[in-house]
Amino acid sequence: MAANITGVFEANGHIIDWQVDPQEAIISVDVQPVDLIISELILAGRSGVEFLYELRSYPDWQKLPVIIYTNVPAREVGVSAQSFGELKIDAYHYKCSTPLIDLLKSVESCLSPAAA
Amino acid sequence: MNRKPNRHLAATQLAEQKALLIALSDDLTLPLLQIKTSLEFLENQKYSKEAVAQQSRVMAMSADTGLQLAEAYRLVLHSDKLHDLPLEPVSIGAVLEEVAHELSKYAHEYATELHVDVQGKLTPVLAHQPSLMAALQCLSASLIRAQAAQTQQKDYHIILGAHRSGNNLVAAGVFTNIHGLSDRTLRAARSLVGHARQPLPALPAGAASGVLIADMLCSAMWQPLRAAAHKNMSGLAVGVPASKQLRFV
Repeated sequence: MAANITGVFEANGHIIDWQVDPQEAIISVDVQPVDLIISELILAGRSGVEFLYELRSYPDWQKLPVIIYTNVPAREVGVSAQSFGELKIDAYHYKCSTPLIDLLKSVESCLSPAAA
Repeated sequence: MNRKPNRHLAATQLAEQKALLIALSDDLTLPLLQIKTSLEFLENQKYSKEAVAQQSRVMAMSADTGLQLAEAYRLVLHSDKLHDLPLEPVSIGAVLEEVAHELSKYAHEYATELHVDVQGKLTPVLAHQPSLMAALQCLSASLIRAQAAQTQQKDYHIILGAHRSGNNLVAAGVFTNIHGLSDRTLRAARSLVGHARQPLPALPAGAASGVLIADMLCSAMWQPLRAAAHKNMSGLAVGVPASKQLRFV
């Protein structure tokens, strides 16, 4: 699935850095700054919410746009949803009902100068 | 007098089945999502010949993943009847070779090499061969996916191994470099299944139900899966009793 998302985004002029391990993602963002992060909530070894808390704990990344693209429907997020306010999530997309093209539009809308 | 415990047992079994069905529905979503995004990718690439060739392989693999899970789940649904199924002497080495053969293409897609390693001369074990094969196949497929998703490497290795264990048992299982699989996490997963999205936190999404289905099949036959080690790799194995009948042949 990662290859498909990467393929669609790259075909539309974006450069994607795909990371499986949340810790690697933090290191990677530190080494090579990015314009936006797309994250799943279910990650191996660590939840996506934990990853986002760590990301937001660094002053440099407090305003970095973040989009959740997950297999967890919003209605099931429950308590975690309350913390989304603090985590400053820009958009929440449920994988089963979000075509890749809609995810792309959401990313481009976040990156547009009007959103800045 | 016996009615109450029976009803309690039936309710427990029903709750277990429901919990597993919830986990399975979560994990079945992933291969379907893979197929869905592959089709979207193809549309984006205007169905170019190269993209179609590549994606059809990926979609076939996703369909296989889903079908494997559904097939193993069907066996679990009938696992209460496993006690009535004929247990026969089975060569564990042959079963592992067959599982490795069945999964070789699948493993290749995940840059994984499967090795079969049987330590010493093992006597045949007493098992219901289709169930043992389904359990090992389901477990292997889940761990292939999990290992490839847990770390980014050029290639991966998995051992389908068997060795003599105590009490006239042969331990047969799947051994990898995945971190975080232990008896404790397995116990926790059994109680979390159906209640948590990720009953095995060490494994990525989509891999837990395969492990839990294998666990239920093994439990129904002999005993649940447990953490084990083989050739410096850690993994999950089931203890299968050696066939006493053939020891004298």
